[in-house]
Amino acid sequence: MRRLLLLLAVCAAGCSSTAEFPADTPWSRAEWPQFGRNSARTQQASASLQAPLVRAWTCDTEGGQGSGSPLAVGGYLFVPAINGVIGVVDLATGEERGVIAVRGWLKGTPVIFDSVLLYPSASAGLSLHALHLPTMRELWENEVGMIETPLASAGGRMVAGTSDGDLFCVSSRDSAVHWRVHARKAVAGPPAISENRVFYTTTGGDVAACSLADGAAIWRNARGAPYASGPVAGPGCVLAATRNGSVQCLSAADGAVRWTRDLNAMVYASPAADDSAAYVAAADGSLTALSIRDGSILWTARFNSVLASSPLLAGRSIACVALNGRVALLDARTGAMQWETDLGTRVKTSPIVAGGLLIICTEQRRVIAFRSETP
Amino acid sequence: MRSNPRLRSTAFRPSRAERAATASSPDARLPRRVRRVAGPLIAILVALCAVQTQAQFLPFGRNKIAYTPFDWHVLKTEHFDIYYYPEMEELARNGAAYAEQSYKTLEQRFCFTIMHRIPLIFYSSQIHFQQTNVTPGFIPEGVGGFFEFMKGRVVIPSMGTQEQFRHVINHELVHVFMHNKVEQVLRDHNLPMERYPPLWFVEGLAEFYSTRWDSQAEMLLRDAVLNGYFVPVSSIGMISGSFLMYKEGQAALEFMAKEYGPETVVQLIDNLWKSADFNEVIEWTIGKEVREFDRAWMKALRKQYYPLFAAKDRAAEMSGAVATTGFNAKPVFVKTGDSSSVVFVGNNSGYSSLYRVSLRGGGEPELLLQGEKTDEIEAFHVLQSRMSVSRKGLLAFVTKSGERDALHLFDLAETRVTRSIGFPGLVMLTSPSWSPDGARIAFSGTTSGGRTDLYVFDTKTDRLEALFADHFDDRDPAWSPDGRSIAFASDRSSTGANGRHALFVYDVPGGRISAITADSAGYAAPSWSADGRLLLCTSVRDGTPDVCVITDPLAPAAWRRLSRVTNLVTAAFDPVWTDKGDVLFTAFDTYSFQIRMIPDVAGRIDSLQAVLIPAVDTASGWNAPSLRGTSAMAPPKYEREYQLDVAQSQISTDPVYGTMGGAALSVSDVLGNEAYNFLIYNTAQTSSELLSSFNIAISRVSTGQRAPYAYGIFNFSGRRYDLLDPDLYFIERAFGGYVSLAYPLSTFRRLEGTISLSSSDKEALYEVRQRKALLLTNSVSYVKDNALYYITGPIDGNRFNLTLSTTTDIQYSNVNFFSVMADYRRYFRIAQRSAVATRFELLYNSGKEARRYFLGGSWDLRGWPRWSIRGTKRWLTSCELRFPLLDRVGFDFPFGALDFGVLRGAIFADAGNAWDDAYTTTKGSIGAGIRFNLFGILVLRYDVGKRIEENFTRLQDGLFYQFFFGWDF
Repeated sequence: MRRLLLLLAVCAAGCSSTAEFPADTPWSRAEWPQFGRNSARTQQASASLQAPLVRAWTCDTEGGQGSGSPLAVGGYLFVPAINGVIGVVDLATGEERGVIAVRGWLKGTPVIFDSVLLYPSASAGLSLHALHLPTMRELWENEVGMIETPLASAGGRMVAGTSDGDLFCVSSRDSAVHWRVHARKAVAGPPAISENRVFYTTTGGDVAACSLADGAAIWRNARGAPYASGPVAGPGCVLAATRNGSVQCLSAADGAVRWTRDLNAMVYASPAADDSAAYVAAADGSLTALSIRDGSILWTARFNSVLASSPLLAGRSIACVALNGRVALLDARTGAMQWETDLGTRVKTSPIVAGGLLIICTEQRRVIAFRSETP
Repeated sequence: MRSNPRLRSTAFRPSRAERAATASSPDARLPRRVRRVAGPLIAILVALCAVQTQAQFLPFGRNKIAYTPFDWHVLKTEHFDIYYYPEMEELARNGAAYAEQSYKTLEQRFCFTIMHRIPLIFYSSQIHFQQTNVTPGFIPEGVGGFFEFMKGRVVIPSMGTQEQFRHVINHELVHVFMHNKVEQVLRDHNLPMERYPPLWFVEGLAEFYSTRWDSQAEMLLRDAVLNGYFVPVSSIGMISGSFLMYKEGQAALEFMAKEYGPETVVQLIDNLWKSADFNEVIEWTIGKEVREFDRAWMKALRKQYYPLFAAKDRAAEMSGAVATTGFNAKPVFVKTGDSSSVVFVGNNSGYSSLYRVSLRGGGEPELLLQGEKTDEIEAFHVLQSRMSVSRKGLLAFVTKSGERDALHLFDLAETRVTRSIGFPGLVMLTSPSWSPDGARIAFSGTTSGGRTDLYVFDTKTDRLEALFADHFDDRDPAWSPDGRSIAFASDRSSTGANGRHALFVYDVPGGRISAITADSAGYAAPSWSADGRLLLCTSVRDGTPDVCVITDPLAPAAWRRLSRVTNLVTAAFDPVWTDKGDVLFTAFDTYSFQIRMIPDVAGRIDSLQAVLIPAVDTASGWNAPSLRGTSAMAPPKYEREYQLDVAQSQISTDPVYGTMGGAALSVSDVLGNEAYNFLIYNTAQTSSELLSSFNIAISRVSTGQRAPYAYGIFNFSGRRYDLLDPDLYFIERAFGGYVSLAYPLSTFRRLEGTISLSSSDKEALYEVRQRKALLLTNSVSYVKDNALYYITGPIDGNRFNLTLSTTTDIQYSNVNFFSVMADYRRYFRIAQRSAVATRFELLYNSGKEARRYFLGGSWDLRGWPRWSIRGTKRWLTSCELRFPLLDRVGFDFPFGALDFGVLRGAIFADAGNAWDDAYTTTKGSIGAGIRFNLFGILVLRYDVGKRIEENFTRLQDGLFYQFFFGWDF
């Protein structure tokens, strides 16, 4: 009912935004301002989770049905929805704080850079937009091509790929295009940025690196098999998994293959990674921890449905959500099950951890937050 | 599916309406997207037969009969509720394992999961499947299962082999995943379901994800490419619904996956929101225009297939034609004295029938026995079942006959069926083969549990013996000339798990089975030479079946030799020997099956291309997977749970008639056997009429048994305009109830009866007359219908309806009349698509307040104003010549093509009248018209002619022109 009233309010206001933010909102970059939390997209939360978890709050919003994970900045949760609405939720209480109406289909997760919301749209025309959150004023927009993947932001620059195979870099402040390269095939998933390098994968089977400064190609490794997800920039390496389940660790410096591990299952989501291991969620329901050093399998856990979203590292635990709504918290070192629950609905987005909460958006357009039972 | 296939009538005689609806073409009534062709060759035949019918009027229609009282149980697995009956429990557990395997695979491929349990309804055979009430329509043999979108039910029969069963389960589950994913993508983008992908993609995807590219697909695509009827994706709508579309769709997606990446296939669904034009969705996904894709695809196909012209033969180049009109299959060589002839199944008459053609003189085939018109010969299993002739000239063949197949013995000299045998334990039969002594017949039989094994029937003692009882599919038995061996095809070798059949021989005295072949070359249809030294068969050597011959099949493996008799571009089936060592076979070419003959094969054995038969596989069979379900308890019996079929409401406001409104809803159970219909409506024009103007009807319709019945209660109140009522415009309150029962004698004939009791309080508005009555109405009907439909109406067969009824006011004696209705229609086929249709009709009501009939208009007495002639009695006769006019009417606009299909012509003469007391005059008309079937659902008709007036003595001045809609009578 609340969602319906909210929608009616949005419609009555001519699909305008209803969210308001106090001027003193702390728009910290250290929280969860973009997909994967950081520009390297390691899916590592800054806080840990302690099993068992209990439900903290539930909020009906417009988001969750797409593949975009929410953002958590300044005490707010920003939940993107395909149909051009970003729900704003109070992170502490789960109260709906309004919506931000955006333009076009919102397929990729936005980023929040300082107090500016930068969002892509999957439209052929103006497809990149910047919104000043305190004033809800549109700062700029740019016509860069249809974007269906999350954005990556680092050092005041924003990088994204388009459906027709362009990778571009614009200024987060004024939308000036710094560079644009053609990747031959569509860029698969969001790029990862680390040490002034942009790493990206394509549906044509390429994993490549270019300079964040000018887009100059640094290396390209043609793996042949297409990618369905973006890479992760690990410690001195790049981790990527092809759609048919071949996980590679390449040197960040020259793209040389350090190791390859074939999981014999389709992989739709980027791995999570820390200094010692990469955690790969596969469509056959397996979550596999691979040694960063040599790719050896450390452990494997099984779910009874497709794992279509990236796992999430939170301290010594790793959270994983299956497509059928099964949520589990495992020991990142052993893969031992610590806690699990069933949401009873499809979940396509990766979970995040913010404010001590494990936050999951479901396809029923509902945000569910779990907290540790013992604070 | 956007429309509900289970809309049920709330009329007083719903069982009749139900059956009448089902009597029209099943193919048309099954939603196109849910159709699944498991018998692909049969699907081609369906297209060739051109027996496409649509809705028809209530008094006629064939019967869909629930012969078998299934004791339904429910097996629950992780993702499925599987409905089955105990006889097929083992098969159901196999199906459960296949379904769960398929679910896991599809969940990953689609990156999608289904959040509800999927109802899977299994039948152990095609004949049982045809009795399902999940869809009210008839199910032809070519349909191997369907997915019904409204309630998400999947209905699947076992078609013989485990591999086919697995394939159909996979195919239908692809539909389930695709449908749910499409729904989700469109819902996420706030888009309507009108953006559903086109049928070629829906079915092509289901095939692509459920089966490998097999010999039938290869045969069809080769034929289409090499004979120039291949249709590219950009215009694939031209073949929508055909088996060619299925396979072209599969081939297109295979090519797309290979050239542009396997992920592009599912991405087409993910990208549906990007354009309302699916061709643009393809462009978004692969980055190429559809015409560009077509060019690349066709180039690849030509490169693949054009070299076959040099390497292989066309059937016409290496064999002589035996029967070429219509489609023809399953030849049997018959020697009678000095004359040699071939008996085969063909469809030259439109019905699948038995024909005979001389091998010497040739000429037109002689029609021996027409099928699909009588209770005994309901349907030939056209491309599934071979025939066999004894030395005494008795032809053994099988047909569907009521609730199971029957084995018929047909005397070729007397051209009559001398004996028909049904076997209570066997639902389906195929391919009988006489023993050399003419005493026994071996055949393949399917039990109600879905097992297909070999049986031997002794015609002298009537003893039936099962040779095997296992899960392997055994078919095409052929008795050796010495009577000691039966060769047959079976999937009992280790390659059988993939659906490949090998040849085996059963030692009759010893009861042992030994393999003749066991490689993966897909063998079928063995046939012995007279000396038992040569065994003909078909084998898939280069992608499609060819005729081969095995020398010394009973000798040790090392001595056997397999030689290729044909090396066809397309395919060959069912080879048999003549007495002179020639080979008769069925050739597929140019989208047609024809019987051809290759001379003197026996004499040229040594010169034929020999193929090494791999060493016999010693692996003894394979095990089918089985799943016990999630519960340790035995699967429970099915308990009816009702789900909504349709709910509709309406409200209208008018300054004169006030506000009216109401709602109707219908619920039925998962199996579709029981339905309840509810109607509530208020017709009050003023607030004071509100309570007295409720119209309420509740009915129950039960179709789960052979005699369907319905009963209900009703209360109707308000102003009425009733053309049949003598008062025409009146106010009535009627309440009461009814019971209706039908008993189908066969597919073509039925008895019906209805009793209703109602209180009627009527006030005629024009005559200011009031009348009360307690009406008791009884009626009985006899209905026969074996008509064969073409595009706009029947062109063969006949239809008959005789109804007697009485209506009596048992309280006030204000109403008392009886009715006789007789309607006979016969269609004389004069050419493949032309017929003379005749109709004789007498409707007679007599008594107090007898209802009136009307006449005039495009449906009956043409040229006269619609419904302008009224009376309690009516007669009508019509004669009409129906013929094809234009085979295709279409327009190519710059923005796309519009194809309207076939235009047909008619020349007609009508005579008749309706009267009350004294018959005064006869009216008539003559003329001609055109009929046009719009999108397969609506026939438009335009007639021009002259009325015959003044008691049939004078032609009308000028002409009448009449435009209306409706099927030919």
